[in-house]
Amino acid sequence: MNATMARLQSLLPRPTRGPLPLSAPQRRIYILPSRFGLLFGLATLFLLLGALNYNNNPAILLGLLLGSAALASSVMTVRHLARLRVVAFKAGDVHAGEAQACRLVLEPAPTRRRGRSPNRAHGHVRAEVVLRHEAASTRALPDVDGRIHLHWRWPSVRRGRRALGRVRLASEYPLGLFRAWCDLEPEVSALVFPSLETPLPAWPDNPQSQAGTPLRRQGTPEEWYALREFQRGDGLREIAWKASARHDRWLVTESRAGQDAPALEFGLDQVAHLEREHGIQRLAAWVVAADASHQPWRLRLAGTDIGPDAGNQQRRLALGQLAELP
Amino acid sequence: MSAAGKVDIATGRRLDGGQFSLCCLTVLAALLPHGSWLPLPFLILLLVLIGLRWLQRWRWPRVWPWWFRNGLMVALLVAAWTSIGTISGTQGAGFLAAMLVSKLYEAERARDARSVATFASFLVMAQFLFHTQLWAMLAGVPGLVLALATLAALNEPLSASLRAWRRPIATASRLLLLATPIALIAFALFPRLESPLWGNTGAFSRGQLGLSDRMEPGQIGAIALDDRPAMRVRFPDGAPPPPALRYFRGLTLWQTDGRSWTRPGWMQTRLDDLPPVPDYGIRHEITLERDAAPWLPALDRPLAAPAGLAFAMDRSLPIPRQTGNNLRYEVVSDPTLTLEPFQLRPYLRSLALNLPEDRNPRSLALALQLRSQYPDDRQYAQRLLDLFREDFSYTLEPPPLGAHSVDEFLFDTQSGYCEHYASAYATLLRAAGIPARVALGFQGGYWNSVGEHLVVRRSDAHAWVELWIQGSGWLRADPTAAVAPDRIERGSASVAGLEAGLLGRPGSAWTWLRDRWDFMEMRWTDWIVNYQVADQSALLQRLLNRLSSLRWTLTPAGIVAGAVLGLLLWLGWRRYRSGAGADDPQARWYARFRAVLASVGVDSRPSEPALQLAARAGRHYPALAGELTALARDYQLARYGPADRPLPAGRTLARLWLHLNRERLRRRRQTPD
Repeated sequence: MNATMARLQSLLPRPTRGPLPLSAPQRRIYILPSRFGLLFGLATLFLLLGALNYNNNPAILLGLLLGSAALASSVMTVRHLARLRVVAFKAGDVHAGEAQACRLVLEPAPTRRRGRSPNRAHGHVRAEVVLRHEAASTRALPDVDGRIHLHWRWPSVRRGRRALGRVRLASEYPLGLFRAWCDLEPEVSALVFPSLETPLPAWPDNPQSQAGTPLRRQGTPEEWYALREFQRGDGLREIAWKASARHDRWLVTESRAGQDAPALEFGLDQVAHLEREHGIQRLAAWVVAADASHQPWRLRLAGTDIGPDAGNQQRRLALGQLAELP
Repeated sequence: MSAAGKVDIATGRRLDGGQFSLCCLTVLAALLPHGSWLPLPFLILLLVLIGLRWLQRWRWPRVWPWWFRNGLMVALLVAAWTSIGTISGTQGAGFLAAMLVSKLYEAERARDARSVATFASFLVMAQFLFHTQLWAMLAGVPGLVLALATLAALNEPLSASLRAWRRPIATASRLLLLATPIALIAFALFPRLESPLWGNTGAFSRGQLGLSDRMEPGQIGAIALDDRPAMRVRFPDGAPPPPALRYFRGLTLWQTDGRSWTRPGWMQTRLDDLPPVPDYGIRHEITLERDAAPWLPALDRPLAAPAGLAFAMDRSLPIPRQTGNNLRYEVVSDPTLTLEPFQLRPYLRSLALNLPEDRNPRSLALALQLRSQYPDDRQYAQRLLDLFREDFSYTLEPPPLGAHSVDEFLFDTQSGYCEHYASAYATLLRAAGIPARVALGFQGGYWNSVGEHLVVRRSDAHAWVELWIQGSGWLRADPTAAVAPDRIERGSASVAGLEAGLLGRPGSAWTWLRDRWDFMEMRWTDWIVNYQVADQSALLQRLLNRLSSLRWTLTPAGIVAGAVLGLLLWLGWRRYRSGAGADDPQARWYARFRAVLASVGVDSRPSEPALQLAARAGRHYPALAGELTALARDYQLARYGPADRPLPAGRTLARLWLHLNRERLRRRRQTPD
């Protein structure tokens, strides 16, 4: 069965590709009766047969009405799917080997019909959309704005950038008698960071900093350098409580000591003796560990030089660079 | 539920409150039209069970154990069996209703809701086995809408608020509206069967509701208040006959046991086909409700028919076997036609004179006594009518009569209605040696001026007498007319007291409404209920003829119409593609501005600002640069400036077009030099 389906699938034209926003043209939307649709059709057929036997015209008319309504619902199914377009794709941070949290956002295209406020057009159809992507499948209903957020977890194997590939959108709106689907290939990608070496390897030998001796920023108030917005990863101790209360937002102190502290340094040359992937994993592990310990650090790669600095943004930048190393 | 799992949420999820309520409503809507035939206790039981289940799931949402559900189903089936009596044939619908209600008790998941919706539409359709009138169709529509809404609700989870229900119901209604034209076309073209595939489908329960081929005192009185139409008659050639002549003869009854009148079975035999239509007589077309009478009534006396009908021995029209329930037929009648004027066949004569000797002795004595005074047949018959007129009264609620019913009627009660009079009159005639028979049919009718047809109701059922007189043949004599001329002149309503109220008065809103409803009902019966194989082929034939004749006569017109249609479609398409807002005069103006420039070779994109475009065009046509810039500035001011700023008039665009083209021509003339 599956093999047959796969062969049939290969006969179909390639799915629609393109940058976001992307929607399927109506002629690339396929539709087949669902299992319930088949049963329903069979039941209606029997009904018509009975009505025909009794030569009961009102019953025939009602049966035909039912059948026609079922057929008309197929048009609605296709139109519903044709109106949806993929507007955003977001993939979470993940290290190779873990499942990546992904989110695809769909939005109905505004209708051309007159006199309809966009809000109404958006919120009009509350239809469930099913997404299938590789082995995962998920489904979601529109929110109040009519947007559909599809969340799923995408297993990752290797580091690097990977294209989203083919996603299949399907819907059984409105009656569940027909299932329409379309395949899309949005030109978007997700980045998988390198996996981290475990256990955490020792800090590299570094002439400029005392490797292995984490420098705590133990600045006294006299050494305050500046206040800045709280960022994820900042320690509780660094919060400037009084200042935060005054300004009604979270502020942290940046001490002169922190600025001046010598940075940890990582580079490809430190792991040159390892096999390449292993080396990248070790660098990644160092970066994550350094970030967790709030030390400033820098990463030297061929052509790029990151830091010295600390914080989330730099960590993600560095991991991204590592992930995309050839 | 794993992300990659095969768990189908749509079928595995528990129904929410709104979805379940829709299920209950669907069953309710499908069940209610069956209230017309289901035994009342059984119906009430089902309704109560639906209500209880709804309440239970709302207040104590627990799932019933399997033994309870199965027990309930068995109990309901037994209840259906005992209250309806049979489950075979059409009565099986009662079983279906019982199953559906018990299904509600196990409806927890989407799959159950789907079966409820499917079987509810079965139940809706089953009601047409009992009624085919227009109201039945209208009564079926809510069930259908709700069944589809239940399905729709499964794909659109409902919130608890009532307003959220509107969405699936709106979806379902919209689908049905979309489906109606398709269904009507399919209905016209759907293949029909000449004969049923299985079962005896022609057997409708007759006689209980309408007339039968038997007459007993009290029988017609039972339907005297039945206001439903029995048949509708159209007179294609003109006005209907006057009320006094509106006798729709059914069949004749020959045998009596002193109380009831029956007809010998052999009388029903089809003798010969009706002759083809002559060029005289009253042509009329009758649409008979199929349970109104077990024969085909026709205006007295049927003379001829286009096709398919045959006379029985007494010149009644039996229902042809093959036609199923196609009870629309055309007959030509001639009220002045004489039947068997000179000789009555001996066995018919003896049949028409036969009376039980041990019944009604007083009547027989009276007949002999009167006969000695009036030896002439006609005078005797007239004397009897005078007798009725003098002493008797017409009532729809006569006292009950015993075995000597004619005696009791003539000498004791002296009040009754048509069948008492017909029975007594025929008995007195026979006792005096005059052949007589009772004719059964309808008399009267209400002229519906909207549909231009005569509505004959079941309450118009009537019995009269036909007597045979040498030289004249069978003559119609209606003793009721002697007693209650109103009954004949103004119809049954005049005696039933229906007309007395405000409602029945001609010109009242009720009459207005009733006329229109009846008209629609007739159309419904004509076009839908009685649509048969013959109509279908006639329709197709007509369509084909129309097409083939169209091809030659209307080709030029067709080409023009096609071209116009194509142009309109193309324009609509272009407008749809261009996306220029229909409500946005500024966008429209700018689109025209761009079109004008494009016509002289300055193409542009919709996103290009007007001033930039004007400047670009100005470089091509330096002579017009000022005009172009002025127009573009005006446009921009109208678009983005203060709200009341008007657009440049359409005339200016036309002028621009003119100037641009003149310039282009001038240039073209210059270039060859």
